[in-house]
Amino acid sequence: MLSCQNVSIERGNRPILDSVNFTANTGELIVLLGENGAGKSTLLSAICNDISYTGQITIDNQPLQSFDELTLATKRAVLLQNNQVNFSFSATELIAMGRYPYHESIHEQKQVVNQLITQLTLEKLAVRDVTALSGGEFQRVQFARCLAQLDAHKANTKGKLMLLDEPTSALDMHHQHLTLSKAKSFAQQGNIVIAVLHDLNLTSLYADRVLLLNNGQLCHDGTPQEVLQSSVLQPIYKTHMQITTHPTYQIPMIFSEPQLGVTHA
Amino acid sequence: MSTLASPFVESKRHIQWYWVSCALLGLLAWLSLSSGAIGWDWKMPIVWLLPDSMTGDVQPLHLTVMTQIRLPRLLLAILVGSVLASAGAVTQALCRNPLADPSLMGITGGAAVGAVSVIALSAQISFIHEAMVAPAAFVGALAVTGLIYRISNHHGQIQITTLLLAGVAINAMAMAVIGLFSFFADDSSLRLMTYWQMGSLGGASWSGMQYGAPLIVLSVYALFVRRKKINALMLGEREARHLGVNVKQLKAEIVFIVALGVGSAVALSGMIGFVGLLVPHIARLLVGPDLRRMLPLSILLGCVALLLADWVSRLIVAPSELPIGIVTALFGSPFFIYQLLKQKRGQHA
Repeated sequence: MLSCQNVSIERGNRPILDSVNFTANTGELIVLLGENGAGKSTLLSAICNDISYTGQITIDNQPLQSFDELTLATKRAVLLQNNQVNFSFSATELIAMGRYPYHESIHEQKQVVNQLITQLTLEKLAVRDVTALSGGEFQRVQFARCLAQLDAHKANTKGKLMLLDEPTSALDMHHQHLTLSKAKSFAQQGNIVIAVLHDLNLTSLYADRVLLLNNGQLCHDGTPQEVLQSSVLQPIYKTHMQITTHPTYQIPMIFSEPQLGVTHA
Repeated sequence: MSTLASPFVESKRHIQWYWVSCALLGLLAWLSLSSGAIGWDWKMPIVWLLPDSMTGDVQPLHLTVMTQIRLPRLLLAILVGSVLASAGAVTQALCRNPLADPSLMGITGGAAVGAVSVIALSAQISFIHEAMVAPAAFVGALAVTGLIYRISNHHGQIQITTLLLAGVAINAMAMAVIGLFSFFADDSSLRLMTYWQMGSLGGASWSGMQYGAPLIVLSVYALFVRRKKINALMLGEREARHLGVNVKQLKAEIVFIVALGVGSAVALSGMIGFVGLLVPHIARLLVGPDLRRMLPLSILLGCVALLLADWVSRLIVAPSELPIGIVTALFGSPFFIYQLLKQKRGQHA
């Protein structure tokens, strides 16, 4: 269980996050939504303990700061945006780096990594040089590294926290669904996944819960049906949209409209 | 599509490169012991190791030359080569860029400034004497490493252009300071300073190494035991932290150890450039970037590279010798230009 109480962050005198409160329960895939600069990545950084904040963040009722680094590393993994590696590791080696916090033999490590490669259909990338991968391929390999860090190859792994900052931003449709369904099933087996997404329809398809940030404030917290409404979204995204229901699943589908003739002020 | 031969650590194909470098190291050590100003005699190392095998063939004087001049020199080459190569490999991981190198970043320059200031001032000021050369080199190296890292670190990301430009500026400053000291120096200090600037193993002696050698061994060992942690650093600072590495502490340790190792190396042999750039690059080509394989090979190949450069520097103008720094720079700088071109191409691809 992850809980954020009155988490605030200021940079200069400008508030980036303004008393954010929420509790994430195991089994939930939570999507963080909000326009650019709303504070989504900052909130993730706070939960990763990368930046200082006021308020309190606890994992399993234990304050974040009280964790020893290696223990924390076996409990939570983070996929960051815009990361680049300048050394010619193979994709397999990069995924294996996720096993850093564990003391295990090369043989065990190899088994974990190979299982994840199969689960995420990364076979073709396994021996490729990561500096030569495309953005999307690299993102998939980094996602696999995060899964390796949390023992996600096992179906009985529970109580872990996975933070994903735009995990699908460079992926094609097939791999967007592959990544999010893996994240979803990982959450369902008793873990927490918090993902920043920009695609509202993917959010609707996969999220158990949506947190909507606006100017550093958590303005909505609810199911996709509750949050993905035009009365909520239009003021924030300043885009005309129509919201209908998915023909097969009873979930909202968002259709935005072209803004022709709108002059940029 | 570039594929990598083997994705896992224990792969047998990598082991052969350790054997190849060990064999090269042995061969060059033997060449280095048996050749020199008094002539070439391939039997000398054998006579020294097995005194009963060929007695009478080798003059006792030559044997003394070998144990008192060539042997310390061999040891110094091995020490300096291993520390420069491992410092290079680790600095590259710290900066997350294969173009980083202690000499290009100005660390060796800073160490040389420290050493040269002590030499110059020891003639004038009574309480400064030559035993302070090594500590001064260390302080110079530490100051530059810390400064460079601070200048080029932008929110946890190292800007390689800033890093290299800062290196250029610091090297220019180091040259200016050394130039200033040499302008006012007397003849004997001048010779010493020139020697520091161009690098040489010629000053090797058993007594000279008694402080520097343990420090070098210690710093190579200290880097070696941290290779798994430093590996994670190649992913990025935040990523390494998320994997459970205490990044802040590790960075401070690396800066200190690299400064200690490079400072000691410069105090013993002057500025020898490009070894830290070239050797890790070759090691990475052979066994990949994982420091668990690459660092041991870099250490071995660093010894090989320095022994080879030293042998070449003695061979070209025998019975005199070239400063070894000239040899490494002659080989290293074209390679650096090639690397720059390659990175430029990579950015456009």
